[in-house]
Amino acid sequence: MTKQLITIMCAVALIVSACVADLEPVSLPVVDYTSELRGMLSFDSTARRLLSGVYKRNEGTTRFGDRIAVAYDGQVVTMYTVRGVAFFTLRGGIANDSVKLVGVWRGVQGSETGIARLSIRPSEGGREIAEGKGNGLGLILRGEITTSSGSRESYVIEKVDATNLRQLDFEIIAHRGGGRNSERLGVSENSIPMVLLAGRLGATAVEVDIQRTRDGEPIIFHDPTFTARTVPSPYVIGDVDNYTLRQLKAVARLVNGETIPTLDEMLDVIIDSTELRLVWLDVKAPSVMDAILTSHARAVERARQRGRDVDILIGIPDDATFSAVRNSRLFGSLEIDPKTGTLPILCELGVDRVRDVNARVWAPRFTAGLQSTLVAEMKKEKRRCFVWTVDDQNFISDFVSNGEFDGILTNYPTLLAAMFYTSPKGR
Amino acid sequence: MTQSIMVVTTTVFFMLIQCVDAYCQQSDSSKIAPQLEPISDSVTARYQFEFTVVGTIGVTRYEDNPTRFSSTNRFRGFAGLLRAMWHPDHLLSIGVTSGYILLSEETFASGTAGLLESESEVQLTAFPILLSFAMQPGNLQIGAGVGAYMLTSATRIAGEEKFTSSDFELGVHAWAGYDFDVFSGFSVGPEVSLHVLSNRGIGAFHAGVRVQYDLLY
Amino acid sequence: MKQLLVIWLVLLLSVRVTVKGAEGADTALVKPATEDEQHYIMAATAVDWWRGGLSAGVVFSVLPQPLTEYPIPAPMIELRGRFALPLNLAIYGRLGSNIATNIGQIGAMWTLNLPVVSLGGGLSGFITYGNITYIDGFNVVHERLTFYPMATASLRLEKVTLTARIEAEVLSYRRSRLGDAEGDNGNDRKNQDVIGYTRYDRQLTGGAITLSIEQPFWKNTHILLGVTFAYSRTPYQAWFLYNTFDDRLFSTEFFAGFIL
Repeated sequence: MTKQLITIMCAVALIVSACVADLEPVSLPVVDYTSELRGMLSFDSTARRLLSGVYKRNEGTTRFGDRIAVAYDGQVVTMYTVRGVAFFTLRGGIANDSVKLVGVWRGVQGSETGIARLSIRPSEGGREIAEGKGNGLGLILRGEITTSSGSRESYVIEKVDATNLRQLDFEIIAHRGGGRNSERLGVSENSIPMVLLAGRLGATAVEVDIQRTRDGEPIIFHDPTFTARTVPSPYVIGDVDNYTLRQLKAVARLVNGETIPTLDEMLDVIIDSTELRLVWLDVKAPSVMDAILTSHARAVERARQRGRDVDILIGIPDDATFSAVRNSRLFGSLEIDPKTGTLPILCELGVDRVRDVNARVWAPRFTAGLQSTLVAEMKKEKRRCFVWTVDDQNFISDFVSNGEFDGILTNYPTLLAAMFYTSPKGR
Repeated sequence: MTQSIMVVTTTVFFMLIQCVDAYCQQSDSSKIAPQLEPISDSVTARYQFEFTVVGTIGVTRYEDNPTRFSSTNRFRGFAGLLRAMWHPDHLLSIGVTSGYILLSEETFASGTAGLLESESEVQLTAFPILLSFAMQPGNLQIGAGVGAYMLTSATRIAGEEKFTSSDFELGVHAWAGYDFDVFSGFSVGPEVSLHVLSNRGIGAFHAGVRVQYDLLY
Repeated sequence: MKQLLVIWLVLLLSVRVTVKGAEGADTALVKPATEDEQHYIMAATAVDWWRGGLSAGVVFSVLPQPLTEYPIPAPMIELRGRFALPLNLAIYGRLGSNIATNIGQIGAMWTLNLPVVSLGGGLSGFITYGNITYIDGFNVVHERLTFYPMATASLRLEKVTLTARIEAEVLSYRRSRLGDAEGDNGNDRKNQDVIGYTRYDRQLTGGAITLSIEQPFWKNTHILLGVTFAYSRTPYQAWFLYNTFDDRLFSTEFFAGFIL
């Protein structure tokens, strides 16, 4: 009897263990910023600029490699590493000529995470930052990081290049608004919280996908059907364009609980609440092109009113979308950029089609290789060239080192940011 | 990683228990029959080709509340299944299972936040198409099926026209039944069963009655 | 993959019930395999010298969900075989293909029969060759060599043999290339545009545990049913998915075949 009982218990344990979800979000540790930075002056833009640049590891943990890129997104100081593919989001303060940075880090290709506490002594650059002088070269960040296992590791890095990374004319374009659900970032792909996170992940631009509802509303969603990958609600199944917007708002929730945003909602948030400088609208529902172009015109006007320099591009991934754009009654209302003479269109088709529609950006698939000759031709015509979707470190390295593209679409903006900023091209 | 360790350790442990169990039995049986003899089938086949009709009621459990208006993640449902199994002359039988399952039905009263003034309804049903395996020691039958469930969602939100949407999901079905012979070829008995669509976070436990007819009796 | 686990457990439990039934009949629980019943492909059970066995069947792999984003089964047809040598040695191997992914495995093991269980240990080499031309115009080719040291334990029950096999996965070499695009961007693709990588990893990338049943199904025809739970940083069936995860990913491989 005992043996049978043990057998059944083992079987139950096996079933239970097998049913553990593979894609549970990785919980970042909680940091009490108020108490950590009590009595310190907040960073200003000068302090963030002085911190920004490329660092080398001097001592301590090797888990992040030898080169680290430090940038900022709004009030937050960010760090990106190639090794471990980690991003740091740090808040800082200044007191008595010393600088303190505290925050969290996460390796996005795994589940490693922890807290980082770093500081700059007055003699190692702290005084320079407090006074807002110099270029920050040689400043030393020292402290420790904690790991998922609870261990503490010392970490000392030194700034060796003073380039303001965010000023570089290269777009780090985050796929699906910042990242896929499989990266377990705690926010859903193509959601409002995801584009708010994108800048901290290293993105300077985002790609978002447009599907349509049954009543013709453009919504931000990747797949043509609802599956548990994106919307776990059991009542929301089948084709996306089976549902009205009202029905979706009532019963559909993304995997991390967000509602599915409309195109207007998404563009408003990007314009009002992020520092992203480019949006790639990947049109997967060409049948509502008029509605998309209406939203585009509205968003361009909104950005102009708010003084936001953000380029919103209509993506053309296939012939159906190409025809829909050309045949739209609103095609003529797309504004020509006075500097380049191009329309706000990103075309993934051949270069002839790019010229035909006077697209601002040519975006071939990465499997077509570096295509240096065609890229040079496009640039001569004042068009930009992006390549998609590059996730593997080997391929990113090839495009960063040998390619002449102006931007790369990736599911790992953190990896691309770290690789680009620490490469010779990033300086 | 935790999941990996759990699966591997429990699996290994499970196999070890089987080994120990079998060794103990072998020791006992060797006292009775020290000479190793040719083995005949330990279980007599009860049938060769069998149809089973199963009617059950049960409870469906979703991983989370299915909508933000739902007050629970457990719902009453029912199922009617038809199973055809072929049983050759050894332990295993193989066949197909299909039928209809009502997984859940909800009505939200008018005035529910976000649904305006009209009553709203949601319903989820399933049509399984499963490849099934079973073993039958004595009158007991234990089986499992794997395959696709065609899920159909019927929704009417706040006075809008009711509409349905369908999709397939992978799922698994396990059951245990007991048969009391009634008359030639027919038997009746209880059956408990489980449907799991883990990708959708759906589990349904059912109990009911099975009626079995042995075509080649 | 979770569904398959449940099925497997139900099958195992079913076998246990049958064994209990055998006790009641006062029949011997265990017997050595007679010549006619040496239908062992996966089992560690030692069989007569120069005796070979072959199973033909199908494999369904459920690729790791983080990579596929959705549980996608990858089917494959396969042959598994074993050939007994003197001194309880045996050669075992596997050939499989679904056109896109092609595998070949060959190894050697030493086996030992104890009163109820059989034990075995061995090493095999596993070659994967993948070639996919995507519908939208590019081609991916992949090659890899993996080694699997393994230990096997089999339980010989009446009519049924249960086998558990634990393997370590040691990746030795892999090469991946993208090329031969049809040039749908209007350019003439040049060879220098082909991108790819080659790695000599020689690293422990994961492991697997396989559970299998070999039993008669119809008259003297035996079947082989089994499931492999694999934890790997580089699941071989998912070679074309550009694995970017720094995690061991869980995948399940369900196999079934007739022993010829």
